[in-house]
Amino acid sequence: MLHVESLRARHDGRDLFTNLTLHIATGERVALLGPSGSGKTTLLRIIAGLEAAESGRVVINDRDVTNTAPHGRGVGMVFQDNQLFPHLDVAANVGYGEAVHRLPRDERDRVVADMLELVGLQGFAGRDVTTLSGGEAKRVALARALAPRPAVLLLDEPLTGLDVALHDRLLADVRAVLAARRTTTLHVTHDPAEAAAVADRVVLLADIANVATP
Amino acid sequence: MTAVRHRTTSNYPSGWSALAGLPGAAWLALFVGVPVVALVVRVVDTDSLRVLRTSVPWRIGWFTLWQAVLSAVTALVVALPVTWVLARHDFRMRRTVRAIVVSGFLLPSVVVGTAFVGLLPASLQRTWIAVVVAHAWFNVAVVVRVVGARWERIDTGLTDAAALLGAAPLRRLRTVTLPLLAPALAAASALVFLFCFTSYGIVRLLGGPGRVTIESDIALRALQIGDVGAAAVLAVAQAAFLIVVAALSTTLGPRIVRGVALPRITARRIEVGAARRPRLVKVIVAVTLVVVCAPLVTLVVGSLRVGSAWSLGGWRSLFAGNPVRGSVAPSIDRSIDLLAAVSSSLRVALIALLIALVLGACTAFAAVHGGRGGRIGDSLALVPLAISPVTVGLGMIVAFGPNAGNLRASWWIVPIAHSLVALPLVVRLLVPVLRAVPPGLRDATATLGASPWRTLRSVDLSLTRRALAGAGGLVVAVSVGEFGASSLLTRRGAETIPVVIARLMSRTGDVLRTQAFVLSTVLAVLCIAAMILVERGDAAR
Repeated sequence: MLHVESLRARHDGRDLFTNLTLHIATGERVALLGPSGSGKTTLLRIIAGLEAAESGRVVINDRDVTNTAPHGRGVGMVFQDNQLFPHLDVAANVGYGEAVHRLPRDERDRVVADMLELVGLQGFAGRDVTTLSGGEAKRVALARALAPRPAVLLLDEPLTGLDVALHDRLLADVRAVLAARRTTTLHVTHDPAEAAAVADRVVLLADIANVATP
Repeated sequence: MTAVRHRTTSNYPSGWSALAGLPGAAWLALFVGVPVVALVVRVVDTDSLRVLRTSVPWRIGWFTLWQAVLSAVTALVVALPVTWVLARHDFRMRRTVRAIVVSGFLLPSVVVGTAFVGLLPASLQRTWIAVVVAHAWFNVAVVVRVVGARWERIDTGLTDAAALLGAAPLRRLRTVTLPLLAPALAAASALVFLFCFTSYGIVRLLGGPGRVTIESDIALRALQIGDVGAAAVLAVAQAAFLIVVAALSTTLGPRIVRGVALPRITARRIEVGAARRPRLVKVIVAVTLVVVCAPLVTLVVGSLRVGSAWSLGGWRSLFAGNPVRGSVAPSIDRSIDLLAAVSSSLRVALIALLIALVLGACTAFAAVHGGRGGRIGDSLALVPLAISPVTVGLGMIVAFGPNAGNLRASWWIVPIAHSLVALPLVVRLLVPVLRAVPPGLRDATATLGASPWRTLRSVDLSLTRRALAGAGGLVVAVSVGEFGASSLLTRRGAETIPVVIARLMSRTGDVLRTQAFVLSTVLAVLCIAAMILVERGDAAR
């Protein structure tokens, strides 16, 4: 469960939004729609703990994590530009979170194999991530974020910048993977069709917060 | 159907590049090639090799090796916190702090040595600790520049991603940042190691007779003991060792440290939680500024004190052309004329500037427009970098004695040596600037009826003017601070500033020490002024 209450965020000396409140039930997939520059990514970064809000609180599974460091929140995130570790291969990228949590090697290998199968990248374990195509890199990023079974998964415009065919194919795959994992998900996008296709519920940023005019 | 042949980027007659490459090649062959051959012949011909059968050079070699390793490690440890702050945080005066932190490397080694003599307590003088501390201080700038440049290109999104996968700050550092920094850390360590291995000025001023490196032992044997044969053996052995190290680091290095290509653009710089640690950033910046500025402040303060009293006597003696009243024996005082040293340094720098700039520009032109031959010339121009200045000086003493026109007794030998030290740097600065000139501009002037000469003047020379000024600044900075070759080649009565500083520091007496601080301050100002020109030229790239 993710509960965000009365958040206020500022950027470059101006309010991005105030009084933002959002509740996502366990296992629910919510898409958040809003125009570019309205503060969607900032909201995700605040939930993840990568940025601090001016005020308000973030609760995950009944635990107030407002002042918890990012590595202690149990949040997974797929970044717009993937942020795969360029010095690690595909398996090490996907298994990074499991290695951090000191999962035994054989168990970690099994999780990695399961995740690669889930995103349709069997046989990619030893590949150099810098040689992956855009779609493959996106799948690895999704597998990496899901592998440690995060309490909440944040998707920051994960399908932006892909060509139409790849976008549609990946959209179907993301929907299937999220449905299979039943992970509580907040998916940020500016594309209403993508929002409707992936989410159980679509919310507009303007409906859950006072949004400043850019 | 005939194949389309693509034109090269050169618009100049093919003979031009060969002609342009010749002077530099001839200069290097005569003043680097001949001395190196003379050194090797000297080693083979005489029984100088006996020196290797004694324990002294091995002991000196061992000290040279471990002090260089320890200096490199210390420089990394001291520099990494401020490198992290500068690469990963935005704050007011960030650029100014960075400029101050990297300024240390602009100073000649003799100036640094003098500053640390003034700064360190007497109990640490002439110890290995003094040598290592000064080396580390000198090379903080190398780490900040080399490692910082790569750190800024590591996207903070990668450490954000690691944090969200559960990695705490230390784990993020160990598993993401350090592996991505590894090539820069290796490169910076190798550079600092090489600088410290062949360091001369600092070791001579701070190590004293008990702490001698191979480089200072070469000079000691050649200058004071007169055992040129043994000095030649050590010079050749040191060059051979450095070539082996360079070859190993080129071949084995990439296998040990896997480099990952990072984007050319500067990544987002602000780390997770950067806003939450202003106090830590302030402490690191403050401590670093104190550490960096303390030796420089010591220099200026030292120039204003004679013994325990404040005095402008040191500065007055600079302009009066004679020493302060009431100092040591008059015979010693009169032998050192500070103003003459400044004037001698400037004269030498001017000649070195003319030689290095003309030869460097010609070599760079050949490298860019001369195809394969030009590229070979470009690589050959780097050779003087691989040979220490003391070895260059020693080679010239051996090669150009009475049987070869006795050039070593001529005043000209010093500016020639300085031009050799500066030439590779000039070529390295000019080649990328010339390469960046769009060939279309030359095409345009050609179609407007301009001759190749006119094109050269109105396109290449015009667009590289700032870089040429920068290269000029670099030559002046290198020349006025050069000590290794100068200490062997300078004639009595025509000493350059670094040679006079070392001489003053080797004697006892408060006044002489004050004069050394005055000259060091003058030299520091000259070098910083020259390097400001370099920075402006660099901005033209």
